[in-house]
Amino acid sequence: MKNRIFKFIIMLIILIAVLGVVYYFIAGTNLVVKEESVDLYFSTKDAMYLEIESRTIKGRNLYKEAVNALIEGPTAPDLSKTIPEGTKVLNVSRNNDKIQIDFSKEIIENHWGGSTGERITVYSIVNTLAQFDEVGEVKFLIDGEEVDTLVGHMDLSRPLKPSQQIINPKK
Amino acid sequence: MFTVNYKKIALFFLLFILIFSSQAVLSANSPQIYINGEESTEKLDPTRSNGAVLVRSKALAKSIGAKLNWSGSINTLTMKKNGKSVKMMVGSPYIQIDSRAIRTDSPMVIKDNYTYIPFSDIMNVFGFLIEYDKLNNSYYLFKPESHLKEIDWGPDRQSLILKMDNIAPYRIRLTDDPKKLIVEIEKAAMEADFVDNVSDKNYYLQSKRIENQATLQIVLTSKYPLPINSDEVISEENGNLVIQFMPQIASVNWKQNDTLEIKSNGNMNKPEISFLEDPRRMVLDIPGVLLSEFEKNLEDNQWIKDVRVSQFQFEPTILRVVLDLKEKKYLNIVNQDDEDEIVLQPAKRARVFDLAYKDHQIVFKTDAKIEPDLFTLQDPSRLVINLFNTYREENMQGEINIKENIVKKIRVGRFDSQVVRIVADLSEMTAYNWEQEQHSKDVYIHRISFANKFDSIELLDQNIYTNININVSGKVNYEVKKFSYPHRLVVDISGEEITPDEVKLPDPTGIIKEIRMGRFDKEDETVTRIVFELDKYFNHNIVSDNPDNKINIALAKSEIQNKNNLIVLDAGHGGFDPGAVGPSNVEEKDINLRIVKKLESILKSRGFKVLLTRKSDNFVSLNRRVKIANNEGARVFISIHNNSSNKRTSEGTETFIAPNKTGDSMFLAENIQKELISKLGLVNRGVKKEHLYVIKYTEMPSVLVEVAFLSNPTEEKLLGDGKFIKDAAEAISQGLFNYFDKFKD
Repeated sequence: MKNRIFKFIIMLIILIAVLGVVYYFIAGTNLVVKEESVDLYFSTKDAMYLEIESRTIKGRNLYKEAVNALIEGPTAPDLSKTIPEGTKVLNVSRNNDKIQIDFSKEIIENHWGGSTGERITVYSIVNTLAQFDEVGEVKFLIDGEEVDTLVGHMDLSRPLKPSQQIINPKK
Repeated sequence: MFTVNYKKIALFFLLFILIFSSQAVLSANSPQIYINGEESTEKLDPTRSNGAVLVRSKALAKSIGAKLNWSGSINTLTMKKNGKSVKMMVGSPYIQIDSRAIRTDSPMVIKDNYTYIPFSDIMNVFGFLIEYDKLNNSYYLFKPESHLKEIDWGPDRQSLILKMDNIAPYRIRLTDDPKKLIVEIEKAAMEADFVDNVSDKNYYLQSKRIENQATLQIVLTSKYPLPINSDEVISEENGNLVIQFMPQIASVNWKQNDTLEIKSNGNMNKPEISFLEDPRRMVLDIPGVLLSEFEKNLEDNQWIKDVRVSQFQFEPTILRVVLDLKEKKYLNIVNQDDEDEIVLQPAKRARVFDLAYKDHQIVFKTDAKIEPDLFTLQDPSRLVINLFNTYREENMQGEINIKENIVKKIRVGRFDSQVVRIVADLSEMTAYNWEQEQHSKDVYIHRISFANKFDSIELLDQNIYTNININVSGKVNYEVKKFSYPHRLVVDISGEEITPDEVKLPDPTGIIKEIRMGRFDKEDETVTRIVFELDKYFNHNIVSDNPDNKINIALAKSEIQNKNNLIVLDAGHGGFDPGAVGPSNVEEKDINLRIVKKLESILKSRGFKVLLTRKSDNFVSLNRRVKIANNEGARVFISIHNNSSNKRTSEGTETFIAPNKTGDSMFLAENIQKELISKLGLVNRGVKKEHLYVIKYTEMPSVLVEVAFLSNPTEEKLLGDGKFIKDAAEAISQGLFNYFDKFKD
């Protein structure tokens, strides 16, 4: 009987050790929670320009967290949101200097439209992601699929580089 | 009962198969064949089999001058010409070419005592090119008009040289893969003893044929992104095709004499420098240089921890070099003697002193040589001078009031602990010039003067016009004169501040054969004269205002004929895509179509041909809209939209052009925007450049107009009003007519 309990305990320890190792490998570097102050690009009230609001973000994937912070919206009252309600970031991956970001379809369905409205959405994301040294351009996917456009104006068939013209020169 | 039904079904199927197969036979009708331009269909008697075309062997051999040999006993046919031999057997899928064999899906057959062979496989062997015209179901066979003899690197591997015996139409295809470059040459073939001096462990060259097209494809695949970012890099030079690369970074080395050298394999422009904290780093943005594998050697040193290099931007190309600086250390750029290297040396923190304004100049001193960063900002106009790695002497003046013509006030601030910032408030945007002079061992004098200068002189060669663009830093008065014997166009720019040196004259293009620049005094003014010597002269139009800070002249390249007066109008959105929806539910697609319909009737009444990408409330993809305009060869493309944002306060009119098309599209957009603003009186949001799909991929001058904001309740109400719609259409048409008038074609 004692022998059996002993065996059981040994087995349990081995099981826990194995699970621990497996967990360590799966989680890998993603276990590390990073924290950084980033510039978020939000729209001016007249939708003429983007302006920076700095915020400290925290998470395992800073690209995703930065865009999630954009989705939350600005705190400054004279700035406005750039991404429609209900939008979710499904996936973000980076290959060399190109980021591929996959949004849920709400970014289209709940979008307010307009060339200006679309431009503001697209560049708030591109300029925010391009502040990271290693990021040069951004490609948009919707629900995992490539798209020609978001809401009928911008060419999203190719990756986009950040826009300098859209940044408020007065700031 | 059951069995009857079963039989009926079987019969039905049989009938279906019969009908289907008879149609298949009909659709596989035999093609026309032309050899060296000669119609040879009848003698070759072509038939299709498994997708390939079989022709009568005897007639084929005769028309290309090959020898034929038939061994009936082994059912084998041999065809020979110029030492090449092709051998095949009835029914066998293998064709033997010299000592190798290829497989065909349609082997040789015997029909009415004649042998029929798959001609495309065989004609390739004998050096013929095949082009298939699907529309007319015709094959054209001919000998290549040019041969590629050799591919080699140009000097310093800065270009690729394709040696040809004859230049044929060519083009570069940029792929989505920056490591891949495709050159297509029409009616060309590889020479038998073609030499490839390019393939090595980093580069791989392939030649490809596009099926049923007489185009030779040369595919260069590289281990690293190729130093090319436009399809305009290919040109003809001494009978060869030359692909010019952009300079690439070659090395970053820390030298023993405490010097950091950044080298490239070509000329580098002056980098833009900024300093950043946390972590401390110096960022050099070098324009026109591409990333590649480069040598990095940073011996242990006291100044920098590491150097990181990345391709910050592609259009325009900017290479970013980030130097991770050690605590309290700074580097400065020292003279860039050699244009293919940038040299940096440790800098001590310089003292800034004796700020003053005299002789219309801002003057200050430093006790070491520095590289300040100067730039202007608008609203209010001001010049900012950032002095990196400096500190301000305590008793230096912090503010100087001047109230002079151009400079109103000078202020000194501290940007951060390491940067002294001097700001000059200006009465208007103006050009400036900074110079540094060593006065004594520890005193450097800096002088900043304000004057106009040439930013650039460009020639944009377009279809009908060559656009001459002279960009000046401030507004100037000018006069354009045309002289004959020989034909020449003279632009006289007045104002003595303007300095003609340091502007690069562009290479002559189109009907311009030479460009000269000089200065002379006229009465009490100095005039800068730019002379464009012309081959011939037809017409010119001055597109810019006078005075202006950009002088734009459109110079006609030939007698202008108005062969296609078609204007394509594109009503945005439609069908299931309503576009923007206003607070009281007005849908953008309807408003766009109403404006387009009104515009159509105005243009038609003025004798223009008009085509709409959609006439009713249906969905048309962006791609389809572009194709309609391109296929019809429209003269102008105008897309009509109404705007929206997520704030009801956004308002006004704006017009977009694509960043890849500036000349004509810009003039068109400026004319339309101007008329809309004066007629509708809404807020002027200006003409903007953006990658909008329909105006980016259309091949003619194209604009996208956002008339007003549907998300703004006041403007939404306006858009519901027939008078406003009519006014908008009239303003857009007036802008278009003004654009045409300026071009008088």
